[in-house]
Amino acid sequence: MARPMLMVLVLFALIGCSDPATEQQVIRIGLIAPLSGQIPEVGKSSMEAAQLAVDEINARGGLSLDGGRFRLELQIEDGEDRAEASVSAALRLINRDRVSAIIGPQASRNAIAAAKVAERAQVPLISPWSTHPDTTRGKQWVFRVAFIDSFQGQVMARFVRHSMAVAKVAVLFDIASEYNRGLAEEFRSRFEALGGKIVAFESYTRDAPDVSAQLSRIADSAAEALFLPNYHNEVPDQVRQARALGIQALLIGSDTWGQIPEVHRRTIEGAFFVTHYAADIADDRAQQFISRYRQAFGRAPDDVAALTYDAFGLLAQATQQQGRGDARSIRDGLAAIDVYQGVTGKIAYGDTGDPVKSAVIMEVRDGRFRFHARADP
Amino acid sequence: MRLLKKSLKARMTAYFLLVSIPVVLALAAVSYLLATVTLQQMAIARFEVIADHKELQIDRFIADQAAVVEKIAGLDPLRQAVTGLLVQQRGTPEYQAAYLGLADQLFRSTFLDYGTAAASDLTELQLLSHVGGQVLLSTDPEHERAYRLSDNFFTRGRLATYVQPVYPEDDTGAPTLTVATPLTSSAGTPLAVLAAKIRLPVLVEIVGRRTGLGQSGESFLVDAHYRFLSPERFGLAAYPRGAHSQGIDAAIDGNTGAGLYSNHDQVAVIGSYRWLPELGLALLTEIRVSEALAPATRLGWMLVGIGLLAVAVLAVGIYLIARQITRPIRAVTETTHKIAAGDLDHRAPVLTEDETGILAENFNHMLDRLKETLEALTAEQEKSEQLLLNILPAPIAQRLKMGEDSIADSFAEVTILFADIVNFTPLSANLPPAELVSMLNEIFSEFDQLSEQLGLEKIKTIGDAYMVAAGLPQVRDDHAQRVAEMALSILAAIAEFNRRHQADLSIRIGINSGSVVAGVIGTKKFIYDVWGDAVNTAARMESQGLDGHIQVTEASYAYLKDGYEFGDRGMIEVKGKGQMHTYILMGRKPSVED
Repeated sequence: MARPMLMVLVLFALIGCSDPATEQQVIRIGLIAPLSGQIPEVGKSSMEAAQLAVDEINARGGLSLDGGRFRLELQIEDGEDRAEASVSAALRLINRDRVSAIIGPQASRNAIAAAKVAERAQVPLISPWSTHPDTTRGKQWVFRVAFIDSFQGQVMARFVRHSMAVAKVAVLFDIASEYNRGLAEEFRSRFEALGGKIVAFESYTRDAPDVSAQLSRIADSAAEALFLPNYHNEVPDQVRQARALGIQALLIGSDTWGQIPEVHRRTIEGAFFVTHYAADIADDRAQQFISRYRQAFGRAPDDVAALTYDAFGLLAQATQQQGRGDARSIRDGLAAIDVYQGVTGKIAYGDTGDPVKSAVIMEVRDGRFRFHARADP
Repeated sequence: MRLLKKSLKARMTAYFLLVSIPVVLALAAVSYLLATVTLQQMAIARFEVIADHKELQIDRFIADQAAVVEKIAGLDPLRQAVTGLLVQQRGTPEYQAAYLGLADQLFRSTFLDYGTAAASDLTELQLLSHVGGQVLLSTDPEHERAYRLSDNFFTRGRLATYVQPVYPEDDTGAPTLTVATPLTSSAGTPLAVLAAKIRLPVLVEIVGRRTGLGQSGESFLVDAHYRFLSPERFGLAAYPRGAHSQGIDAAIDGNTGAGLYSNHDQVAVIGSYRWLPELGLALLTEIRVSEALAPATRLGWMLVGIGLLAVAVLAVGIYLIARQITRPIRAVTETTHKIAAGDLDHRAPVLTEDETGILAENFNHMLDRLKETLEALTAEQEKSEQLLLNILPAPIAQRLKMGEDSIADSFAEVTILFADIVNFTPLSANLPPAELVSMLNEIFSEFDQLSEQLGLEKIKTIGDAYMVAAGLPQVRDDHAQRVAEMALSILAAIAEFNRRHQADLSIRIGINSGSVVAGVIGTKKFIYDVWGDAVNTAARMESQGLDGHIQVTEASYAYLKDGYEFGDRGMIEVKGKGQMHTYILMGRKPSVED
């Protein structure tokens, strides 16, 4: 009689002993990034920033939650810059890897579809970079770090109409991509509301990169400015095509332009674009992040990197606040955050997953991005 | 437990059970395991065949659907209608007209020209623009105008007929199977892509056909994201993070295999799983272990049952055999009980000729010897008893046997007699010793006889003196009378002896009465002796007596004066005592009755 009891006790003792002795418990976080496809630079920045954030958190001993200390474990899936692949990636992270939360996808054209999956599966998802309103619209489990396009369109429209005193603008956008089309339409309505005139509203699809036909019509439109709310991989070529057609209009860009690699920046010399933060005016927190990032990866962090880093910061704060690392607790924690001081600035949340935060307007001068103005909401 | 310790039969039966029950259980377990393995292999082999068959059916179905779509795309009127639409500007009445014309043509192509039956498994038809993948026309108008340029079915279907493995539809997340094929002009110029969604429940139905799967067996499909394909199970709240089991996970990892594992509902199953890469689906065939292995379970229990029954029957047999074997032993045991109770005449029955028979025989031999020995011992004991009684009075001998080592009893009233043959010493000088001893023996034997007749206790002889006492070890009131009788008889006996042998022996007798201590002292050559002043006085009465006369003390006289005639000797000087009044016993008084 006594022996079995003893064995049970020993077993309990072993379990009790092994608990603190084993590796820290783990919270799995999924990252969906476009590692392949048309915007792999975004994927790379996402991965680097995520790795840096997770390493920093784990180096501090992980998160201290109710059940002890928890390490973050990063599970990276390639979204291929395709909605379909991003949906698959989200499902894999949710069903196969059973992650507690998902960071990404970055581009709205992927994030919108993946966000639906997360919402249905009730897994919190933070898209660092997506600015299209549909990503979070009507969703309880989806959050973002970036401002949204209605704000961006407004900022850009005001800047063009008021600061630059431009009255006639042409727009060329990828109609098959939600971000591009959404922002183009947003800009149009804002700009027209400010008394401006959209003299050309041309679209293309990215499987046909030759936009000379559309640009010819723009050239004929006598536009003073050309708004290109398109991804960084396409813009330099579109600008080259425009210049080739003799279009000398002021170039106006959106937050995707922050990703344009240095080699192409001279191409867009003289352009203005809206983006999330500017290294020139970064505060201490941001400066430290920049130097750590530079140390780790040998280059300055771009917007995607900074936003992704903030997404992990938000996630960690939400988890820490709840004291639990399960999906629902993280969501509740995210919903409860009012203000988060990130490397991309002060991020304030209302009742939605969309933050209220400032934008900056950058100028491309001498092949470099320079801070031009701040636009507060 | 007591029974096991006490009974040989019970122990033998228990040992048998101890050995045979594990054997039966082991046999049943091994049979169960072997049957299990066989049944498992059989089930898996059967599942492989079923799965092969189902895969073939699915492939054929998909190929049929792809052929249907290809055929539709190849219809000339449709091509012309598409060409007509593509030249129109969207939003114009001409576009609208061309759109309606195309829709009509698509309807005709699908349902009239090709036939309803074959096309009915297509749930949605889409025409996508060759560039940008815009949905120009869809049987589901909700989907029109969307751009599918990053979708695989569009990018691949633009090049050749392509069946996209089941993927989650980006709006609803529902598993979707799409076939796409390029639609070209009759000249071969790519115009559009014709995409068709295939009714997935057909696959579920093909897989769900329950042939050869028994009661609980089932085949089902799971997509690459751990979701059941069947509409009734898709997205069930029971699987918030998808359905997982060893089979599902292995198949989705691209493996094909089979085994015994817990299914998605944690029920133990035997399952066969395979990954269908062209369809992006896992095909699983599973049957509950409880059902698949029921025959093995039955076999196992049957073996346990039969085995235990056999063991029970054998146990009874073993018990009976054990009883047969132990019967002679028990007979011997009973005999020992009787012998222990004292019945030495009992003998064990010899029932067999085997070891137990020999045991009984030997036992009986032993008893015989034992009885002889005991009888001899008894005889010896009687002899030594007799010898002892010659030396010691019976009660004293008894007490010594009981363990008393020294005996000294006080007696208040006894009478002691000493008799000494007066002229024996000169006689002894003339006679050879043997003759002398013989003579003395004759005389003293006579005295012994007298002493015994009168119930006196002979104490000892000292040379030619004879000492006897009365009143010990048994107290008696007539001790003085009996001694007086003895003294008179001795005188008579001596006279008779003289007459018989023409001898001239004379005897001197002294008698005294008083208290003495009698007993046995020492450990070797002991005798029953008396001590005390009364003894010395008696000896003095003899030594200072008169030849041929009996001298008694006043104490003895007091006892005897009524029954005997005495002569008064008057006061004499007695050594160590001083003056004593003594009497000479003359004889019995004539009886009053006489």
